[in-house]
Amino acid sequence: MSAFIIPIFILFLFIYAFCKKTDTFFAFTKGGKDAVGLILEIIPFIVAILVAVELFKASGLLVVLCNMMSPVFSFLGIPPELVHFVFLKPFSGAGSLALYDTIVLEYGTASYITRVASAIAGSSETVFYISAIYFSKTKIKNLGLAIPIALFCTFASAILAAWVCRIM
Amino acid sequence: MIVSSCIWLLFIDPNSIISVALSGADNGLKLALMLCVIYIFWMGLAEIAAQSGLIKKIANLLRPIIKFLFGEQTEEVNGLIATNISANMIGAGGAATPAAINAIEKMSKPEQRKASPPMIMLFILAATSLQLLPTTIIGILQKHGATEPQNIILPTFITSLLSTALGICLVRLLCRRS
Repeated sequence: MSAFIIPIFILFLFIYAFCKKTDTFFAFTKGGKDAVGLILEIIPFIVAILVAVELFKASGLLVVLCNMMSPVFSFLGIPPELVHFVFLKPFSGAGSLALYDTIVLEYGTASYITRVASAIAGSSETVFYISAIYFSKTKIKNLGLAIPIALFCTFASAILAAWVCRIM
Repeated sequence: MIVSSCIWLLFIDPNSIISVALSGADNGLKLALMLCVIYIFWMGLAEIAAQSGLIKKIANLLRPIIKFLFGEQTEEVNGLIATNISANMIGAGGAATPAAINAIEKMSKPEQRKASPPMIMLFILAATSLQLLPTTIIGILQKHGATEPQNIILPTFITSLLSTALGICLVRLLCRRS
């Protein structure tokens, strides 16, 4: 069912554009041109943020953080098996998807742990990545409370996911 | 983050610092190329939606919500925000991100250094990502032979609804207009 939503949406878009007599090919290429310019501008930001993430992971500080937090997680009701996942999520979208994949493989597709992981994966985004990219075309350096609030919500969504999956 | 990681690595494995940093840079470029392809595709489609007037329709539908969350914004910014929110909801981050970048650029003044509350609001909405359809997650579950992957849709929606509501409240409470 879900596999159809995006193709149907695209088909609908083309039919709608056709009815409105829009030049779809011209519009598509114009949008694509804007995209290339955009990417060229943000490549340095992406590279910089991923260098930082890679160093942080390689240094083992992530693992130290995980071990320290494990008891706190149990107390809040989040399965301790997911500590690593919850902490990786704000840093790396691709990395946390890879980790999610191994969780599904290890605990099965219908287990409580997999369901909590799924809800966490669906309800939060890669905070540091979007913070680097969203503001990349402006000179804004001071994000105020944006990142603390985002991280707090990410963490809260892990707790919520654990509770919601317990009753549903 | 870089400093603490480097200092720690100096103690445990000093040879690896450069290679790790370069592999991060390598990943960055690969990610950028992958994003380039995705963005061309989605921004192409978004441009079709914009030129055909579909975006304006959606923006009109979402106007009360956008006005409540972001205050008074220009027509163009409204459209970009509407694109961002609706794309995030169906899990099409590829279409959401470029719209948000442009929306934030349009909302900022040339020499602005500090993020304004509407920008923080847009960022938080994306970070807590209200999720109608977790397309990627369902895809992975299906790959591993889940019989009923759609069971995850409702818990994910409720969780993301709660965390998004929490985020909106926090931005409202903590980020004052200057």
